[in-house]
Amino acid sequence: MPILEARGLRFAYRPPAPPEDRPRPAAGGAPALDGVDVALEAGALTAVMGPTGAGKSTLVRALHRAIPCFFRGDLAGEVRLGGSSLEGRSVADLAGEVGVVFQDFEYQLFSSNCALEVAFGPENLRVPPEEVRRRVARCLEVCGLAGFEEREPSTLSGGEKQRLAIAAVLAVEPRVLLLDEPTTDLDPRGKKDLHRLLLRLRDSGCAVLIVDTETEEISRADRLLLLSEGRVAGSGPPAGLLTDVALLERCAVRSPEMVQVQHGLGLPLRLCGPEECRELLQAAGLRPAPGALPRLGDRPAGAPGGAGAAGVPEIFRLERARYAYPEGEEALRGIDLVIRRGEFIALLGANGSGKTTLAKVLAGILEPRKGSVSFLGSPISASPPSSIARRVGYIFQNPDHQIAAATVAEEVGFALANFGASREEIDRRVAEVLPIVGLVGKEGEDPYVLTKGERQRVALASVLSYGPEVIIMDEPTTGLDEREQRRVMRLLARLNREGRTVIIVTHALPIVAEFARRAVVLVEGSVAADDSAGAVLGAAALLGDAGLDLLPVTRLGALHGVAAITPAEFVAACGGRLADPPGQGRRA
Amino acid sequence: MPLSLYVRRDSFVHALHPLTKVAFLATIFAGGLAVTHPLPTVVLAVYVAAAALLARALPAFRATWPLLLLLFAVTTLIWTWAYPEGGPRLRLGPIAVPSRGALFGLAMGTRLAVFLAAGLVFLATTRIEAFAAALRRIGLPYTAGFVLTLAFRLVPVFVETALTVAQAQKARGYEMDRGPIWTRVRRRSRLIVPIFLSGLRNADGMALALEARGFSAAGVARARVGAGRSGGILTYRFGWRDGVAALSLLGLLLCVAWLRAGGLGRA
Repeated sequence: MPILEARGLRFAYRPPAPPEDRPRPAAGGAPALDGVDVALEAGALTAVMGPTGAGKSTLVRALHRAIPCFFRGDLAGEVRLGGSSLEGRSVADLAGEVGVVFQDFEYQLFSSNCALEVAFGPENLRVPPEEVRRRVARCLEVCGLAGFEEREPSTLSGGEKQRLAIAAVLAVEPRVLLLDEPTTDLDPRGKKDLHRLLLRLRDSGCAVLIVDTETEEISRADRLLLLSEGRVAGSGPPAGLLTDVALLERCAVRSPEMVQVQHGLGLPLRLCGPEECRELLQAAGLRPAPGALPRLGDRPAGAPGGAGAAGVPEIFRLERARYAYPEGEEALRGIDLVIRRGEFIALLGANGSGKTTLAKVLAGILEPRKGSVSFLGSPISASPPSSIARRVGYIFQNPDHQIAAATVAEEVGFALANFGASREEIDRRVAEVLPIVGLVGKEGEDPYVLTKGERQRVALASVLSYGPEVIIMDEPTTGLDEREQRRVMRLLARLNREGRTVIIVTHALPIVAEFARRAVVLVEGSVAADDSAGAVLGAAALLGDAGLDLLPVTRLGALHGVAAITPAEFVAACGGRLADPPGQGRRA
Repeated sequence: MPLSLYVRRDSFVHALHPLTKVAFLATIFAGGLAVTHPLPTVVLAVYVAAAALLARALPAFRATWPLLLLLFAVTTLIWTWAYPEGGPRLRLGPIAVPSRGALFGLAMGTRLAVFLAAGLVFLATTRIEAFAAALRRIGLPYTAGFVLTLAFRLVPVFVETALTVAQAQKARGYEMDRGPIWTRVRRRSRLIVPIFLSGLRNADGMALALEARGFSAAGVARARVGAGRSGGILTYRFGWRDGVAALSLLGLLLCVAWLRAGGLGRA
């Protein structure tokens, strides 16, 4: 019998629309959830995936009574815990049985040290102090935070904060654990650690539900629930659903790389790792032609068209640049870097490695304490901030930090107005830019009622409107579904082909493999590697130092003695072709 | 980035019961408000400085001392000339300073700096949880005390958001520091919408996160922490240090009262 069960769950948000990651009420009052059934069993890990606005967060809220207690709207259907209806119970009533970890870990931590943070829940539930102390020690240990008892939560890294948030929830010993996109801001190592922890919790008998976007990690779940437009589009073991390429495409979920390879080669599809995939290829008599792909180290790092090295004008030159935050923490420790016109560069590294700080230094937002940064041959500090801003567009990770106007059109023209453009010029540029980012028809809308992907594109349009030579985008794909990710990245690739220099800060290695030509890896504020994206993505030890991992397709390529960083090129090397978008796949 | 002013130390002041620290704050505020002459306010300043040194809380002053100095200087100058009974003028080079006004200004400047410094010593030596416990011991409901202390935590989060929003606008050529003061104020007001929305989101999210961990669960009115009671993993008991601190605070009050009685209470 399931511990937590929802039957016929239907919910429509009542306007006004909540901002940030909350789903926008669909036009015409369409429900965010429309007849969803879910059952969480003890000792089972259930994953929920789907496109933006599919109702994933709404489902989590309904399961722990945040709906209807915190979010207004029309609710129908029933949620039962241990066989009893939750009707009339509050969120706090359920705290001892249903633990919830939210996407944004910052606002989940409110105590002055880790031990007190973990103790907060059980103390509220009147657990005796001695038992609270035991739980604090045990939960910190389980979450890999033993020895952190006295640390202030705000001084932890992103991954540590998320694990602390989980430890704090585990301390109430819930029978059910719900996690709403807890890995969004984590680097790959942090994600892996978190998934390992969830598997341990599952094995200890807890019913776990996680909303996630990472298909590779989700493959180890017991059950997968695919949502689309508030309805269940698919439900069952991951092995079945993650090989249904057409369904995944409809739900804006990226197929696992090995599935993409099998699909491209017309093989029966099976969810597996690189080793098993090699056996499948062998059985089908397929293998990549030797020499079909250039060695990873030989791939060009420069701009399209063969430019990139000497002879192409320098945009940025950093020499021994150091930056320390006012609290004394040194984020950049002597960076030497040259960036040339027309490059497409990915800044890679673990959480806290200095990627965003470096990007902000390049944009002139932060000024290095030591060393020098020059832009087009002149010290960046010698130019007024507005003149740098005119030529270097910077898009923040959270578009809401940027949005300050009441309508999309005003927001997109905001920077142009700052630069003194006339009304006619602003209107003309806004009209030119909106089709590029696919926001025609949204001119008069309030940017805050758009989805995060749309707000991201508003922020990008606002930068494109004044045509900067350099575009720097911090985590361009975070929080977006596969469809939106590709839309934003294709746009950046197009701008790069047109001659603009593009720099992205990211953890998403498949994105780097597909779009970036050069990768700069930061480890603890220093440049650990600066090479072509291919060379970096093929360097296992280097990636390990930076909290990253080889891509599955790179491991598959290595098993065959070829250098591949995308499924498409591996498939091509085997003589196949990866359709775009993927069509129907044959199922094993 | 640390978001609170708490400085972790094993000091005499840190070990005091939170109520004793509240009494410290109350004494400094009462003493400061009772006098308008610089001498007793300097006595209060010396006491607070001694407490800061004893607590080894100087890191809390690292970022705030320019503000303390500025407040002291501005308040002193304003009150020196704004004091209605300025008294005879003293010539300091080309400037004629009203003597009683100067005394009053010095007292006001010192008073404000002392109040802020005492607050800093309190926050540097008292955990948010202990502060909440103290508020509850003086009669505030647990929920109200906790929410009040939560506000202290939200201030730095708000400041961080404001800085990021300002950076985001600067990156789009929005110049906030150009033009006359009213233009700067008007231009900065444009940042209010994203900062405010971010604050609302944080507050909403925090409220939900608190509830999800049983904040208002039935029976939570019991103290989370409290002197001598079982209730949480932090417990506070009055000890000999509290006795010593109480005596010193009494001595301080008597000293201020004596100065006031001796005619040094008013400028």
